[in-house]
Amino acid sequence: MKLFVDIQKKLRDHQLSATFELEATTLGILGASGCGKSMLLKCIAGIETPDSGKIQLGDRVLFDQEKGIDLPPQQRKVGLLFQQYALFPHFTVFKNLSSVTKDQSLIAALLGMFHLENVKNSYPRQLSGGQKQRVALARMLASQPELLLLDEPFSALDTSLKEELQLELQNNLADFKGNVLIVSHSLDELYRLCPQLLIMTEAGVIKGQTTELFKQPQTEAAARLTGCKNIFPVKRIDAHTVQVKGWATPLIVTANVPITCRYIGIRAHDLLVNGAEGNQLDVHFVSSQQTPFEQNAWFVCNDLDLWWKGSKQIEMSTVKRFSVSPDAIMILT
Amino acid sequence: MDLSPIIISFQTAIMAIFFTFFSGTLIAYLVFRQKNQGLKMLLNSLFTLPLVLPPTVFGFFLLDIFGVQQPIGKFLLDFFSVKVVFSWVATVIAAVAVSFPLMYRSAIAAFEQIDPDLLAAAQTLGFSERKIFFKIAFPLAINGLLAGGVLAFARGLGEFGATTMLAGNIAGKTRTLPLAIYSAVAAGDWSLAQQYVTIIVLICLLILFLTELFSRKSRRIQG
Repeated sequence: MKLFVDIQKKLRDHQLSATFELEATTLGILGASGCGKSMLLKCIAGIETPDSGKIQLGDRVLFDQEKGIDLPPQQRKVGLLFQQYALFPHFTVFKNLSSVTKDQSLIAALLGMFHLENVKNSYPRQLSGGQKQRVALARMLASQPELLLLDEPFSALDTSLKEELQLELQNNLADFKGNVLIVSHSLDELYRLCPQLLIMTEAGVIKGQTTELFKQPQTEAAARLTGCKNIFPVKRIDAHTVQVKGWATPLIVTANVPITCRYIGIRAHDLLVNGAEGNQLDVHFVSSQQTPFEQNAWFVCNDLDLWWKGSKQIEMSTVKRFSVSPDAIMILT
Repeated sequence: MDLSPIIISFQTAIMAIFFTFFSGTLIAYLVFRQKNQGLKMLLNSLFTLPLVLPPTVFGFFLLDIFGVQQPIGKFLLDFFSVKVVFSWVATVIAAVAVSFPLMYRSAIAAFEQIDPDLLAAAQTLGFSERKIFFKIAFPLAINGLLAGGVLAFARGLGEFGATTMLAGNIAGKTRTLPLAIYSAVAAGDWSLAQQYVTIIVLICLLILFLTELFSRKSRRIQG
């Protein structure tokens, strides 16, 4: 079922504006905090009203400001999973589901599918974070929605649970026929769960294949949101060469450099220590920082900060030179 | 000691709280769910107004409505032979009028304490507005509503100004505890006034203790 969204809404400090269309997929939504990701979901669900625009699901118009259509949430058949799950605290797990549907076989099937039979008489406050999430998902599916919206589904959970629950969620939603929208600020989560990605920036939204957008985020703002730290303003020299301001040698790039190119991005993982091939960068070590399974290091290359990330095996303070493959350089506007 | 003021006071306050609790809760909920913020502010001010107006202003309005020379008062007298002014019913009307805003404010506050996501979730799950009120909002707000109800009951019990104007001060008929204290002092019967004062202070203390109990309970449930 096709979802069409084209809405504008004035928020406290900026304008939320999103236009996209999608069919039978899981779409991840990435954006800076406070950019209106949750608001976008609430507008689609009908809890908030956009200032203008249109929302259509299949052949049903959910919202059309020009025609004065604004279906109440009850009639939209859109399921929304809240950040804190919003389970009814005074109902047991069973009652949370049975208040939504009278279909006893559906309730039984959902309790089974989400492994909730043994807690069906418990109250939400007695459940673990993972169980609460499963109850919320089961309750949402009990209302038989045609579209699922998940607002930061893992933010209320412990880190140790997250990866396991991400796999679980993927399996549980595999049977769902409609579109799923997932808002998250975790790049890992979005990369794993969502074949399609929508990046919300000040300048508008960018939508595409998740793997593609991580390889080629298109704009400077999108590159930052996908976690790229090394972004430099450049001058285009020719179709395969750019010059970073202040650097001695130009960089060779595999991708075609359009006239509109204003920045390049290099992912911290793509800087190779002492590699012989590709563009060579002379650097000065500043500091390094250990993370559990990797290390981060901060260098300076002709007055510009350069971030490196990689194996803990390498002694970073002795590194004087990086190489960057021409196809690892992202062309940004 | 004449016990009739105590009985009349309780009869009045109990009858009044019956109307105040349900109308206050319902009207508060309707205003709470109102999406139009401008209208919401206007209604909020309007329903809170009796809290800040002198009760005599209320007495004036009520006389203006129910006085036998006025259309409604005349209609009630002519067709139902009911004279509201200077009757027990008048003490109830006066008590409802002055206790309503307390119930209303408490109810609004109780509804606003509910996690808005719960109400939004109920909507997306297809609950009708009626079902949201009875199954979600009312049960989750019940302790705050009860606390408000007790407070409104106490206010109804202590009503003086509007009651004097609309119901008068007729011994055994419309003389409530506050009026009995006034009359006793006016008649110079200091010890009788003292007895009535002791009774009403004790009752109100008990009521406020109950309010505290309910609001503690409601905090525990929300947390």
